Amino acid sequence: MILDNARELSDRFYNYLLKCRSRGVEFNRLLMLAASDVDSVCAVKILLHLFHCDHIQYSLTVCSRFQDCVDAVAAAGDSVRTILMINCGAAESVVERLNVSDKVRIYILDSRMPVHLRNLYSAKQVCVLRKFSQEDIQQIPRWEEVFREEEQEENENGAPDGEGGKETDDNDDVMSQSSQNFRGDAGRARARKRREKERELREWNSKRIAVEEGYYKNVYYQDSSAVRMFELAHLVSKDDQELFFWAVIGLCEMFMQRKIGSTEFVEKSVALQGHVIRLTHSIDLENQQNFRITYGQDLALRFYRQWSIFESLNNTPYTVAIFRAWENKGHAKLHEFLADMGLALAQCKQTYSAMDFNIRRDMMEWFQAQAPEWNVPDLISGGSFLATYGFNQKFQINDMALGLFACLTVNSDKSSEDNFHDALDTLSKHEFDRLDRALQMGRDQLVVLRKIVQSAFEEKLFVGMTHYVQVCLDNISTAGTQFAGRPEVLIPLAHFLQETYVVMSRGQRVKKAPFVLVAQLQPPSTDGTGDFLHVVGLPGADNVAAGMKNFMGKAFRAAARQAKVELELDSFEECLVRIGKRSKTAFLDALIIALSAAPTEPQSNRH
Amino acid sequence: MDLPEMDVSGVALDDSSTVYTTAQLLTDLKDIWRSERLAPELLPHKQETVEMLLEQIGTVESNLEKAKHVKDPFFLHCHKMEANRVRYMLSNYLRCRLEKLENYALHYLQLSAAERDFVMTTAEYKFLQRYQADTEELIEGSVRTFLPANLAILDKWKEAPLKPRLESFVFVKPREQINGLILGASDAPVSLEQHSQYLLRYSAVRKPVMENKVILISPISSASLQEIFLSSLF
Amino acid sequence: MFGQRAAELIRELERASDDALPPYKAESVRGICEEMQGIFEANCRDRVNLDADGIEQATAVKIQHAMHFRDTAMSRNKRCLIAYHYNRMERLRNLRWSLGGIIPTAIRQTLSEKETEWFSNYSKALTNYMMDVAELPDQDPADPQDPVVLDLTVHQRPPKEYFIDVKVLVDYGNYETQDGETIFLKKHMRLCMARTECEHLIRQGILQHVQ
Repeated sequence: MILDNARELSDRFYNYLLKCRSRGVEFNRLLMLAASDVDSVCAVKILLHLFHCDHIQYSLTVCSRFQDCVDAVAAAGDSVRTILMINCGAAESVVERLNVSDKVRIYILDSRMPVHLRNLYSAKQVCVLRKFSQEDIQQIPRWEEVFREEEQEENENGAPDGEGGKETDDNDDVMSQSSQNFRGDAGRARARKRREKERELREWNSKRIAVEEGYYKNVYYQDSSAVRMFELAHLVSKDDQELFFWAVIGLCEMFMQRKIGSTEFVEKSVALQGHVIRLTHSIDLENQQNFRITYGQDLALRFYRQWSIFESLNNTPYTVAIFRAWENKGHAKLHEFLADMGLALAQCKQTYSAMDFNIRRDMMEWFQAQAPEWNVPDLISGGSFLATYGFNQKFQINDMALGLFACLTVNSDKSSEDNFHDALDTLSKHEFDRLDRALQMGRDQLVVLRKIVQSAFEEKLFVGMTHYVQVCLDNISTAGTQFAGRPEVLIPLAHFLQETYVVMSRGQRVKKAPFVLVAQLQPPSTDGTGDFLHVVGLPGADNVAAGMKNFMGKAFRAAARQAKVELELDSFEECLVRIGKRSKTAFLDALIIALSAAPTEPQSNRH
Repeated sequence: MDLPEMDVSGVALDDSSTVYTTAQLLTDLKDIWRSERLAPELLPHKQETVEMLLEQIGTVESNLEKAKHVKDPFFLHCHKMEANRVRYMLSNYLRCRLEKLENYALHYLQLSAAERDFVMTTAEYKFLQRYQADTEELIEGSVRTFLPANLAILDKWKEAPLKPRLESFVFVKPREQINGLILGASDAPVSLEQHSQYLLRYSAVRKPVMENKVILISPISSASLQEIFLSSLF
Repeated sequence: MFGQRAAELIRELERASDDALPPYKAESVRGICEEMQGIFEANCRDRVNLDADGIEQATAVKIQHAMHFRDTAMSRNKRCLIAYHYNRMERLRNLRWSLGGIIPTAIRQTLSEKETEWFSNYSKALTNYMMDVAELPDQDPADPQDPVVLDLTVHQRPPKEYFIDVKVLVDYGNYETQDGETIFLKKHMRLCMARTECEHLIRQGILQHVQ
């Protein structure tokens, strides 16, 4: 079931939770399973606020892979009647995978698409809390295409696995349930009828597989969960500036991690604009110097408000790619660009807050004037959210989102759960120190990423395959590139590498080529041997810019199947997998075949 | 509860036949709780108040339990909260008494039966006896095996038990006018006016405190002064 | 020198932070007792000497002085021993109120046998007292009710809110609340619980209150 608009969200989701409170102890506790990403942190933060207001009891478990969800639900046992999954679970058939009884209600709040068909077509038990555009709905296969009536199946004696090969989708379980007890009674007519039915079923089945493959092919993102929860809070009249701040972080993170394209981001931001005005208006004038969020044009340079302009230019992926900032030549070019603009080097290398006030005031215009000449139009973002606190302390919420991401991923000494709780604590407008620390962490992470990109180029690690580009970082020689952290950190790294590579090689073909990053993370001290490699797959760069639709997860699976390599999902991202070190060559070879057969339509390999 | 109403130091117990309302009970509890916390010695027990309040809590809580499915959760919440507050006050009051008993165990064991019944309940006395026996056993038992049999270790300790410091100073607020209070051996008797506060030796007001004619108050900190100031503004 | 070990014993306890329980010094206690035994025996001997017939006045005074000195040393030793045990007992008593009826193994190792015994006795006395205070509601045979028990250890802080947010610090497993709800507590979980339910667990270090 889909709970589409905000009104339904409040009526059928939130009111249900409210009603649960008075239904006796065994019903009133809500189990929350939250993925450890920034959007989910923000959504949880908003929800906790709502729950606190309405005395809804909850248990929150942080999950970093789906198995964690399964474990958490199993451990909670029968005492759970309501489960809310945040940014996890949409891609799985939750009722079966979590193995819950039919008394349990599951709400899925996930920004990831596609949603598993079982979840969508569940009558009441599973509710998907998200918006579906007309377009999305059209993409969903009709019920008859993917399901057959139960009683019909009872009578079937088909062997649906016949042509599906090693089809492992959950839906096959339903088919294989068909009984075997027909062997005895023959009867010709019956046999013919049965054969006919079998044939029909086979046809239907192969069609079903094609339809499902089409549906599941691309993983993409929409709607931030945090924004969704903010809409809910707005509807139940419990929103305030702080909640809005969190929601905006959720949205910005999706944009900064390339989960949504810039068009969509602008669209969503404009939609949130109304809230900016409403919430800012409600603050009385005396509190003006307190926390405030504004929306407007700004430089698309990362962390420049806490850094110097020069360092920021030198590290923001976009400018790094365009200027080739790691080369001497690029460095000179960067200086030239600044000189053209009339910015003194001394000022540029100064911490932003210590820069001359006049320069700071006019800088935007200078950048705007120079941008077309140097062909860097994206240096100025159409609109970004800016948070102000205290006297003129400002930061871009985009940067805050990256900072939180760093909080969640950078530290591998602590468990991901601890990082999640730390991030939750960071998100408070009263704790400016912690916000600053998060920004600092984001900056540090960016510097590390940039160093890796630099050494990848210096050591010429980019390998242009016929159909995709590959970077293997596992045998990189430069010290310090073996970096630690959660595997999710490889995704922004892959984006960074890809962006830089595409700008450098300037070919149209390169723009379309998928990108594969193989890297080894320093194993966290708690976790065994470190015999693993992580592989990240991205679609072509043009696809990324328009809001990523990623088919690489499926391609990885196909390749792994072919090479008989065990594939592990170490996070909720399908495009990020873990393989054994030894099976690297076999896996990559299989991937070449898988992608070369049809670079953009890998699903045809699956037969 | 029919405890003998012993008149030890010329103090009579309150008339126990009065019917109390819950509100009355609560104000009483607040008073005796505060006095108990601030007095250096154990004050006469108020077993009846405690029992009646406990009964009230029981009734309220069982009513809440029954109304769980009917009433608005917010309503229930407020009531539970209120019940917890009373529980807290009661626990703290009783705990405070136990602490005094523990600290001056020997002294309170040496009281006469009449005095004992006046200041502590049977439950408290039982607890006290057991506590002291255990403590003596702990100290004696720890060294017994190493010492000659006829060497008593606790003799001196028992001779001079720790006593409540009745000479310590307390802030007091009379509930009614009190006349003829003798503060020191050489001083003339003084009167305490209603609605005023005094800083006195506890021993001087011991009797009126036990009679509940005088309540003890905590010294006003600057924070609470400010609060008083602010509340007078609105 | 008489009394040195005893003073050292006290000093050591004093050096430990206010509510910490350093390991029980059985050796020192034993040593002090031996010293006392020595004093006791010496005094007994001297008393016999003193009572002997035909003792010179000067010698008698000498013996009396020696006895008096030993007696003072004896009293001092006694006092130190009592103070040592009594102060440890007080700290142990605070533990009962802050950690509940079960002593963590780490602390159990620092206790003497007698102290463990005292602890369980104290727990029993406390439970008995609380049962005595508990109020039986007017019994209605058709609807038997549980007595209203006032657990003094639960309400140790003034309640400000009914539900509080807590974080689980250790893997605990299932915890049954008074309402009969079973909650599974696993490390890193964050929950919203009634304050009365989790005050114990917070004090035991299983939960942490988050704000």
